[in-house]
Amino acid sequence: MNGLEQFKDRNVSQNYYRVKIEPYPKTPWERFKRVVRRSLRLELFVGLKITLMEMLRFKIHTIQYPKEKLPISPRYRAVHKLLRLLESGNERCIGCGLCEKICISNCIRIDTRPDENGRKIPTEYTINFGRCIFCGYCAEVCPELAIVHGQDYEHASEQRAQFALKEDMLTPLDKLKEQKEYPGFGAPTPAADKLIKKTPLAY
Amino acid sequence: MESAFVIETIIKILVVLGLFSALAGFATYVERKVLAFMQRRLGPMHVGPWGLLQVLADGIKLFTKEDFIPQGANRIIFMIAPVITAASAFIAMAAIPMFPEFTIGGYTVRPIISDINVGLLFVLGVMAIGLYGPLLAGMASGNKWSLLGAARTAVQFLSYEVVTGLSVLAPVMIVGSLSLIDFNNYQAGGISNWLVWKQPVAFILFLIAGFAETNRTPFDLLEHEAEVISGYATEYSGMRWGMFFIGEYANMFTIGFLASLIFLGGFNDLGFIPGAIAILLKVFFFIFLFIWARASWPHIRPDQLMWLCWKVLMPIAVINVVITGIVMMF
Amino acid sequence: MVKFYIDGKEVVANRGETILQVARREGIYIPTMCYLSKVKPIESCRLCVVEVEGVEGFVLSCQTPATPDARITTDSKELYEHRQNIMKLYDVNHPLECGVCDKSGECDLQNKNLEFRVDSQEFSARDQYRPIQDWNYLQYDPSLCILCEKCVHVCNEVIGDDAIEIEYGGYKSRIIPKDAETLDCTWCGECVAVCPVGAFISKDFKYSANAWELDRIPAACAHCSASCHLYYETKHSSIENPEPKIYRVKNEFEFETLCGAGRFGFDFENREAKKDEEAFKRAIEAFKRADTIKFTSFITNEEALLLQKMKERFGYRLVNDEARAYQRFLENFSQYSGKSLYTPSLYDIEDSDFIILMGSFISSDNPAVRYAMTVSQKRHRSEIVNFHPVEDDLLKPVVTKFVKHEVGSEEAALSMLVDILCDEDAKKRAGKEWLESFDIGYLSAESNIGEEEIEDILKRLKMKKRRGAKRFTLILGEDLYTHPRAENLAKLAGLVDRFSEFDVMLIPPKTNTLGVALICDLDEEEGEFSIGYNQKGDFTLSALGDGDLDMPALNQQEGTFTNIDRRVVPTNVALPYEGYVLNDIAKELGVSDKEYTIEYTKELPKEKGYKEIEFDELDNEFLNDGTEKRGYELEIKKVNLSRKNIEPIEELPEFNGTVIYRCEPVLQFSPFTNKAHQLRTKGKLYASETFLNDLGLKEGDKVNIQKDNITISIEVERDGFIASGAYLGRFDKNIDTESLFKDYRFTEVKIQKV
Repeated sequence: MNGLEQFKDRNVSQNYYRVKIEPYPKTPWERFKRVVRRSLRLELFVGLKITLMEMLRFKIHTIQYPKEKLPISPRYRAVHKLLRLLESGNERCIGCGLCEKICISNCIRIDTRPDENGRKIPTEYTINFGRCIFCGYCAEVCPELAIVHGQDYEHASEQRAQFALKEDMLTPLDKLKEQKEYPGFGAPTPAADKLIKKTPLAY
Repeated sequence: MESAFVIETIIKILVVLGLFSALAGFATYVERKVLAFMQRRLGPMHVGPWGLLQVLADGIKLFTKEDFIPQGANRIIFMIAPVITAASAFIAMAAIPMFPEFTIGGYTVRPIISDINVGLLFVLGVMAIGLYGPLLAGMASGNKWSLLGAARTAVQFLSYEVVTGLSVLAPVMIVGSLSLIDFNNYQAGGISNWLVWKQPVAFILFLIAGFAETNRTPFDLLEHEAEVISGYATEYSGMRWGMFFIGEYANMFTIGFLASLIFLGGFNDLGFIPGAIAILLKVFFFIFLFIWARASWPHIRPDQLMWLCWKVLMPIAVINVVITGIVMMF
Repeated sequence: MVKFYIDGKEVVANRGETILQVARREGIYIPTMCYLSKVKPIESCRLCVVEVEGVEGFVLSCQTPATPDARITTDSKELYEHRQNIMKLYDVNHPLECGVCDKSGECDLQNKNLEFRVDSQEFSARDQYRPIQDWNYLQYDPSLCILCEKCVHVCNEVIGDDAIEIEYGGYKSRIIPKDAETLDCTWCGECVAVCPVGAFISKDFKYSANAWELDRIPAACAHCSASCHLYYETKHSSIENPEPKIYRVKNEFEFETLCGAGRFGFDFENREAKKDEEAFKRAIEAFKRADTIKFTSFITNEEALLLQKMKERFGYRLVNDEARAYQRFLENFSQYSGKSLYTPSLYDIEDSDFIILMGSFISSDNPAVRYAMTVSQKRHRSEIVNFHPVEDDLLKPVVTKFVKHEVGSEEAALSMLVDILCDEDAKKRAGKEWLESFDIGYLSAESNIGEEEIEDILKRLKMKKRRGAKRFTLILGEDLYTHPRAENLAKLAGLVDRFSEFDVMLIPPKTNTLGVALICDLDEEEGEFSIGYNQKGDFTLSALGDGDLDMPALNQQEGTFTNIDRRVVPTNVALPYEGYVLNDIAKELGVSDKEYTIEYTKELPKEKGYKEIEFDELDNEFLNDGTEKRGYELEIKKVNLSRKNIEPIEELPEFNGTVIYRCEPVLQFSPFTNKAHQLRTKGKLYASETFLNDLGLKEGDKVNIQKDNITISIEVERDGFIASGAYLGRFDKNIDTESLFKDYRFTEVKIQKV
């Protein structure tokens, strides 16, 4: 781990230790003794030393955000994306409506109809981002890995309708090559193939 | 001669005003940077190189911000209060000799606006007047937090005024003068002549009292956000609010100069370091100390503050005066 | 009465009840895939097996009646495994397309797979190519089909179309149209309703919404007097338009049957009606000026009561020809039967052993009656005799004897029936004059009903009686109410009801004709200035959206209908309506002091048999055992018998030349059904093959229909469902067929090819 990657290490629990707390003084005499002890031990200067050493060591942890960015976890849940099939470029969404059903803030709506080949297609897909709480249930429930959470967390806008339409979320056809397979919420685990019981086929 | 004196004084006043206003601003930048470094941060970085122009940006912001006077406030007092703070801070500087004498074009300049023979008394007195600023501001705001802040001001400043006075009494007894130039001259001749060696207790007491007088952590109770929102300054905005802070930072410099002059040898040459540089280094060390303490220590409760003042510092100061007297007698 | 035990619970079975029926009635769950309450057990799924103590192996609960003191277990490890295996077999090659399937969320296969935890598949079979079939309103996907045969049975046993059958062929098996290339039926869509999976679906609904998104609004069908129970299923129209829209209609298919008009003709609402204050002011002025209110029976009981109240206050004449004819017929009928109303219901028809139908083109007049007759025929081989001048091929599988008579000779036919059905007492009661005028030879000759045909009916009747037949029903239709001799016909019907074992049913011609006839005092003649409600008047209130003031359509209203079962059934608001309603006008006129129309439900006239029950107290559901709990039944009161004799039979009217009939084609009832987007069509002259040949016409020809000085220009369409004659409908409001048929449903016209 080097550079910005180290900040992603959240596995810090092994460094925890218990702080010893001395008993609280009860009598004035004890309190006086504590004052004397602390003064003679120059406890105040310990604090000063720590801060001074930090300054001299100059180990700055600041990420200067717009210029520098932390890499975000694949499970990060930012504004949704609708993915396409990598080979054909067809939309993955089959309009099953599970995301609509599971959405706990009730902010997804889909219009569907049969297309010219008789397949179900979503003609329109919207998420009301004024309501969305980015819980990730929609991505988790999606059987086709079609609705996923993108990595683009910079979504300030003048209109709340922004980012919410199908054309905003769907991978543009010319960007198909840049589309990344989604490893986050609801994506199959690396060992998924091993866990599946195969259906016997007669052919 | 008379007109030259007037011109000289006016120039000195303008220099002190301009310089210390600028220094106050710069001190805010330094404070933010030092605090940030001590906390593994970078501090302001966006305005100018390393955020240097942040001070300017803050200044523009303060000047252009709406001057807001709340409906329930006493307008006149509300408007005057910050002026008292800023003015008293600058007036106090009038009796402080900043540098050694120097000559420009044959004209000898004494870098003190007015060398009065009760200089120390004047400085302490005028600084004490500064308490009227926060006190009146808080009382005039018509706001509970402000009023609480004002009450704390009165208690804290008045109490620590006693400690300040008593702590400098012992050096005054030794030097035998209230003029700060006399103090300086008394310590001429190297580090060993510094009063701090003779009066270490007085030095520490004066420094602690100085933290309280300038309303710095760990004694920043007047406007502590977590307790009284912003204390006396709750209702202030724009440049009026800014004046309180110019006052506070100017006071920091004043205390810095006083401590340097009384205890740390003033503007006497320090080995190869010329006196002017020496006193600047000393003053900036004190400024740094203020900031350093803020980064390191938590602030204390008002009752602890009072306890420290009346039950610890004042008895020690009195004992110190008595011992000094006894030592001088024999 | 048989006492036995299911899972330790003591239950009692009625005669002939199967174990499954008892279990369902008692709320004990036995899983099934192919069982459908309203048809005979299909026995194709074998999921309903149970264990009976002391009996080797499993027993099919759907077809086995219980033996006394039998101890039955509905669930055990063996049963569970057996059922699990059945479900696995159902899943062989069933496409895993639940994500897009319309049935997903309400699919029996899904539910049972979850219930029996089928999470892996051990069986496999070679998949077969079975393309999706497109059948007009329907779509059939053989690969989704589990061959439970519900659709085939319902089509045969309830609908009577008998249009589909199974083509057996192992894993190639599928449903195919019976004896035809493509499906041609009455499009009732009941196969869609009963299909437990997504094999049969409505093409219009396909992929437009998911089952769980839809709000179910229980209502009564507004198209005919059966007022079948149905659910309007609504959802927002689209992402852009949050207004609710009806997506489809569902019914309680286990217990009742819906026709195609009810199922596919749901969006007849008056869209975009707003509160037009100007129009409202004009309406109030018109009401102040008017002396007549003309209306149709497509209104609720409460609206009818409002009209009646207006009449009482302002003395309007209430004109509704069809309801008036029915009202008079019912009055005359009661005076001779002694009952204020007819007694049989559709359930009685289903249970009847001998049914005589007269004067109604039943497959389009009232499909529910047709379905009830089909059920009675299929369930216990009842005799069904149909008297009508037009031969209806749709009834062929059901009707055991068709008697074709001359147009206008209903009086002769009914007289002959009275002659054979009633005893001497009745004939005496009819009066000497009538008896004397009864000359069977003459009547037979004039009406073209052979004496031997009457003999044959009598023979069949006797045969049925010998076999222990109990229930006999005579169903009369609109032909008789509009007949010039309607009064006499009603009296004869009354006699049949009173003096023979036959119960007489009078089919109300329109949705709420019975309600209007009971609630309103109707007038014959129009005045000078008329308000039309869903009728053309000098000022027109219209739920079709074409009048001077908008009114809500019946799927935008709450209220009650009085249906053919003499039942007051509630209907609810499926779609919002923002315009004015009749109650607003009544309030403005000072007639109504209620805020909502339904507050009148409890004020419906008690002397006519209505009860004082609040609208919100009315039930609208079916119980587990199929008991209909909808509203309440009208009370039948005793009526003083008339002492007047029945008039002698007059010389029968003669209809020569071209005669056309007035009835709607299948799937149409009124302009409202024609407004629905799936059913919308242009009104045509529907003619049989023979009729076309006689006049030398072809399908698609334009003809002028002339009568007196009225000429209607119309296209001709061949109707394969009738064997003779031709008919015109009233569903297309652009074609003024009303003026051709003044009262009787047959009329003589001249038809010229253009």
